[in-house]
Amino acid sequence: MTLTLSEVESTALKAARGAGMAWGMAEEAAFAARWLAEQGLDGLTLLAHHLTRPTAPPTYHNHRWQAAGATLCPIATGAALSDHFHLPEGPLSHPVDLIDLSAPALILPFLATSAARSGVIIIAQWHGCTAILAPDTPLAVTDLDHLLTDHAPVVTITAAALLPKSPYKTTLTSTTEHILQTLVQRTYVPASDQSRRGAGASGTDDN
Amino acid sequence: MTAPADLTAYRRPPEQVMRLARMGSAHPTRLSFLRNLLRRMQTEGWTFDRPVWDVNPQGVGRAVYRAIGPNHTYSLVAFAHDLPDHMRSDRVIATAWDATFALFDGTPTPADLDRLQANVPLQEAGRISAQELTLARANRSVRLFAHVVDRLAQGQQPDAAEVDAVGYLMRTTAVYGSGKFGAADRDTIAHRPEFRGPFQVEMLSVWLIRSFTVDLVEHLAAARGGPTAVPLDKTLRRRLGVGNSTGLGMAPFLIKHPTLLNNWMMAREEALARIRALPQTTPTTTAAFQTAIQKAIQNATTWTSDHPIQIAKLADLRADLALIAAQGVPTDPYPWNTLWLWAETTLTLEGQEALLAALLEPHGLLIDGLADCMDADEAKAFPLDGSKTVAHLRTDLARHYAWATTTDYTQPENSARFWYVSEEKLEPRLGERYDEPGAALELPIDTGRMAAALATDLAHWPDDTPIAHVLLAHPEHRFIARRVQQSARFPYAEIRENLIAAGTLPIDMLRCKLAFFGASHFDPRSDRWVRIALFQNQPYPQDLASEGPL
Repeated sequence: MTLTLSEVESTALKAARGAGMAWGMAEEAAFAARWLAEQGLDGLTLLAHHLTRPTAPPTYHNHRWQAAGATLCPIATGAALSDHFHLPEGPLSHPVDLIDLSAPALILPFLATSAARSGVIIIAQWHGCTAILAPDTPLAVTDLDHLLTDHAPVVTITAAALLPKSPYKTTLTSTTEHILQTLVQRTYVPASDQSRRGAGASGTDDN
Repeated sequence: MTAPADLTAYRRPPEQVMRLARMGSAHPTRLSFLRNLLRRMQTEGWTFDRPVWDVNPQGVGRAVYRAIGPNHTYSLVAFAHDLPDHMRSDRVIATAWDATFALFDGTPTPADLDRLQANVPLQEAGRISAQELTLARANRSVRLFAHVVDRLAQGQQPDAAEVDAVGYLMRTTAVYGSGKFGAADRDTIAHRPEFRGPFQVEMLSVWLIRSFTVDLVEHLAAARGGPTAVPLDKTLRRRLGVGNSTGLGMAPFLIKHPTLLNNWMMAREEALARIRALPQTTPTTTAAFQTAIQKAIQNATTWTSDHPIQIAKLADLRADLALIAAQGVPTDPYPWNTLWLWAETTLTLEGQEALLAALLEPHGLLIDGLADCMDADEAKAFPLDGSKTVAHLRTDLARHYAWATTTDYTQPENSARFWYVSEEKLEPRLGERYDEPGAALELPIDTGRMAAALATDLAHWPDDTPIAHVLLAHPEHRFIARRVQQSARFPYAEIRENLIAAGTLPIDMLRCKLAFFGASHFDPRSDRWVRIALFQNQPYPQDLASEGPL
């Protein structure tokens, strides 16, 4: 049976709640499953299998996010990454490593929303797969086969700011100017009487 | 006409508007969804036909009704069944109906009709496709349906009092849209101008169902009476709407869609504020207002109910409408505001909200554009801002949830009930927390109690802590924290009432939503079950072009 987006969302909400998530977290699971479905990916199946595994929410230290003695829940981690996005612990200020993450693709919807809200590009990398999330752009991935994997030992999240658009302005130091002039000069043929005649204008005694 | 710049003094605050007693006194207005639909179709010159009518003398068969707009055509596919009386039930647990319907995107081929015939009569047990926009079913009003067929077959018109007492030939018991049971997702059609507004596909389905119900009684009368039979008188026909029987399912919808509820409320409140801010009336608006009050008086006359609560409210309404008619339109500056302030100190909630509806009626030019603001981008409003501080959250709690945080929810009367979904056909139900099992599986409708719990736990956190830190430690507060954060931008998003208290009337929530649909003749069958009529006294498809401005 092919599910509609609305059915993906409502099924994910109830299943996540049934698996013991708090209602607000179950809403995040529903959002994630629907977002992946909108990209043509089967996020609901990924979520279903994730929900059968024991996982835990993250704690963080020195930009390493992990669950002590447990696999990280991608919904709790994704929501926390989104919540912390602009904070010092978040990926905007420093790349973040997620250790031992279940169903890593489920964090992509949260990163996509953060990218869109903050106007940055986010790169998520795990073994065999790089996913790129940019504002108003479809999800880009290097390897679809590894995208929907059940588990990743390490996922690295890096944010890259888009350079602000500013008016054109280039000011050269004298050193740079000297380098450039020397190099540019090499593209010119030295002057000679023969070349002057080749210019096709009147002779040098014309005036 | 343009709206005055500063309407602050004329706006009703959420503390006044978002209370159950007032929401449960709501009346349909010209911003109601069925009015918006009819207005658009009239303005855009939609045309209508019935390319298929294949119904046998026993009333079994299928029919197609088309609505043809400037860019798209939509077809109501109707299946008429022969339902034994003992199987007729309005509850969601029913498995058979007098008629079943789907709204098809385009014009269906015979193959489409065959596919739908194999699925639509089964309703939830069947499956429709992204080519369908809604799935619906309806049951006959046994009393009126039989009476109308009998009379027409004998060459007579039905008794007008009977027509008014019931108000419809059939009542829908569910109209599913928005991706349910395989239907097209709202996102895939919301970009079409005719469907951007809320519930427009559902309203279109019901409006075309209304035509089907009248065609069916005339068909059955002709089959029985032969040359003696007559068609239904035009005036009586117009007084018929489509009934709707609604239970608790509508109440959780209002909680689940806070930004949508906010936008409905804000549009209506903005409309009222613009009118109150008008410096004077005109002869045209005064006359149109008086007509609206007379229509409301007429409507209240034919509006009956056996429910004690509604009987009392109808008495209030009739008395208040008489007071409004007697009061007349003031002649001092800002006359509508004068009238409004008089109403707030004189009338019951029924009368005040009826006055609101009447005030909106003459001012289409000033307010109809607000209908374009009644949809919501829920995905955009969804993410929490985790970098906001505990101090921010405390401020929002104090400003928008003061009604919630002072209640003692350990008192049984303040937490007497719980909302849940039964495994029996997934029917939403209301349980008694201290008398029956299931409270561990309750739905997050206890907004007040959740807000109070959040406020309690926040007390342990310093003001400058980012919410992200709190939510990592307390995922159980994520649901209500999102709502509290939204309340700053969407002040009318939350019903400011303890929805699990003993004595809470779910029908108040149902009425509010149904009034936004455009429902009239709200008739509670219990504190959690209600019948209404849609499209009563509105034109039929064939009358739309010749009708005055809607």
